[in-house]
Amino acid sequence: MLLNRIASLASESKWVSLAPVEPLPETRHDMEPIEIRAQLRDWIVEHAKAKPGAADLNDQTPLLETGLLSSLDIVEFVLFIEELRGEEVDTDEIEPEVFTSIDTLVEGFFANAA
Amino acid sequence: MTTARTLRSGFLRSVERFGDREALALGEHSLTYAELYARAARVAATLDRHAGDGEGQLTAVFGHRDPTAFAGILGALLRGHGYVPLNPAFPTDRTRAMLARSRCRCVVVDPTAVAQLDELLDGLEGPRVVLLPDADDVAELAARWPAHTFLGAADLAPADAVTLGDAEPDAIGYLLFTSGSTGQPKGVMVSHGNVVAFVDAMVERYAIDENDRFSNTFDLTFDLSAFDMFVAWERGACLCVPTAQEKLFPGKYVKRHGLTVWFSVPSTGVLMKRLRMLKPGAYPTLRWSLFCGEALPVEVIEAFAEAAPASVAENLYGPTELTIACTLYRWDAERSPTESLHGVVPIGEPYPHMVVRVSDESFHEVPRGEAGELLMTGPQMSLGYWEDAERTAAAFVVPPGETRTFYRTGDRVRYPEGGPLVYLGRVDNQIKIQGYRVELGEIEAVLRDVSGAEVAIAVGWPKTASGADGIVGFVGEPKADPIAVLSAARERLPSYMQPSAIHLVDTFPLNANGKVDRKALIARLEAAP
Repeated sequence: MLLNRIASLASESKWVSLAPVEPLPETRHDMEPIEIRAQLRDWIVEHAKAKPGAADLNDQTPLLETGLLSSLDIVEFVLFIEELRGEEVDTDEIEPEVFTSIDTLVEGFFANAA
Repeated sequence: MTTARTLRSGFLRSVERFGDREALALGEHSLTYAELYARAARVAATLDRHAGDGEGQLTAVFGHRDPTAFAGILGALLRGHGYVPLNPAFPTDRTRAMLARSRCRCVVVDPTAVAQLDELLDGLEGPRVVLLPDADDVAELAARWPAHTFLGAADLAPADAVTLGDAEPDAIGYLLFTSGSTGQPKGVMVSHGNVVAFVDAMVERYAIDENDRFSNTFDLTFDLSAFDMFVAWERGACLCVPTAQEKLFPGKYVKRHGLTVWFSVPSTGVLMKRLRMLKPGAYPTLRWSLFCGEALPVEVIEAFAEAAPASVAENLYGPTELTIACTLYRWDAERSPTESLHGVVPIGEPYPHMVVRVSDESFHEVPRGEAGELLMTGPQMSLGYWEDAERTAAAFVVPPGETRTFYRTGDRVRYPEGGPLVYLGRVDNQIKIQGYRVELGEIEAVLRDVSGAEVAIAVGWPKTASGADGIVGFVGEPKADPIAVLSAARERLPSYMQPSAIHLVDTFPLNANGKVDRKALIARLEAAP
């Protein structure tokens, strides 16, 4: 019997995450800023690897207008940021501008670390 | 000039009555009715000045979430034309085919679409008149494409040069291409009269006035955007268009703009719920919480109704061919959960001017309460498919014992006596498994139930000539235990409906309109059996 689990279904199709929110893992607020930046960069590159420009990503690269971060990535990405922060994000108060680049993300979500 | 009302009538009346009020809020832009009219009038006057003889009655608008796209639509309507929306977010080859098929002579291009213009024009037979109202210099484009005429900001005619062109109620208000099952997009011809009938019903039901602020979550190539624009502008309300960035955070957008009317696909509600944006009482300004476009999960409308406690939540239903929406269901926290089937909100009652017929395969009406295909007719029934008599004849039929033409929705419903219309799934989703007729929606409901997932999809697999040999399920809950899901589903389903395999997925493929894409799932199975 076939009971396989499809992990990442990369294709031309757009994928959106629909699974429920899981409890937050233990806090990781002791992370160094440089490590946070590296983690954010790795996540984006991993999720955008098929897209042009992903290889040249730096901390000022526009994430949304370039399409590196799509609307369908945003749920998972916010959950990832919460995991890094070790605390929840007030999602209905997020200013979209915070998602402009890795720099603005660090400033917006990791002010203490930066 | 004709006196019959058309798509522009409500907007023009609001320009007179509410000229100084905000008509469009979009990013940094805020345009009053007078300002939006002036932009539209300049577009119309400019195109009329350059249009040649033999131009048809349609003007294309290539744009996306920019004021010029909206001015382009209104400009087309002021000319007395219908509009053909083209989306720079879609593949250019497909857009070029739509433009070619619609034979629009004039195309209005907004700044978001400029980068794709060369690709769009490559291989397009001309000559075309391309208006870029925001472009300072079009000399380079003109040099590259000598067959076409390019007009920029400097070429715009003054607004007072506009002459309103005639438009009859039976003429096309918009021509909208939807995906066809054969791969060739179908152009649905929706008349001015179709939309006026819809808008009249909506402004009355929702008691819209100049203080309302509407969301515009839908792209202009999705016909539900016509609700946003024409219902808002009919009564002097403001259309609030989130930018692509703002659309990612709908909660913040509702608050920042003090929206009173929310309208989106249920998937947006699912995402808001998942991002914990639906906290009780979060959106006190909303008067109406409206959903349309796909099956609406009970838990999404419940959460949304709690987040917007001053609003009435409704589920709208309707194919493009019946003009935006043609049935609706008002959510009631007490009664509705019992009227919902498999966790999906009913689609309710037809609009008062529309007629429902639930039919079997030969279009004979089935006894009340039995499942059948939904056929509808009335003033919102569109004109059919653009230059496609064959598909028009197949979808617009005169049932036995009837004199009127009905549109076949392809949707299976049940309409019990004294109860609401309940959506059962696409007719295509009803397949034969080992000779049994199986409704995939029923399997999906069980899979959602036993796994706790908000979305589950069942497909017939492997395919056979007459249907499929079995069922494969996709469950949107990566933490579920597939063996437990499978055995729980087996207890609830007859053997021929039991999935042979369950795939747990993080994410579902979505089509261009944001709905779950079944074909992509099947393609996945075909690629890796």
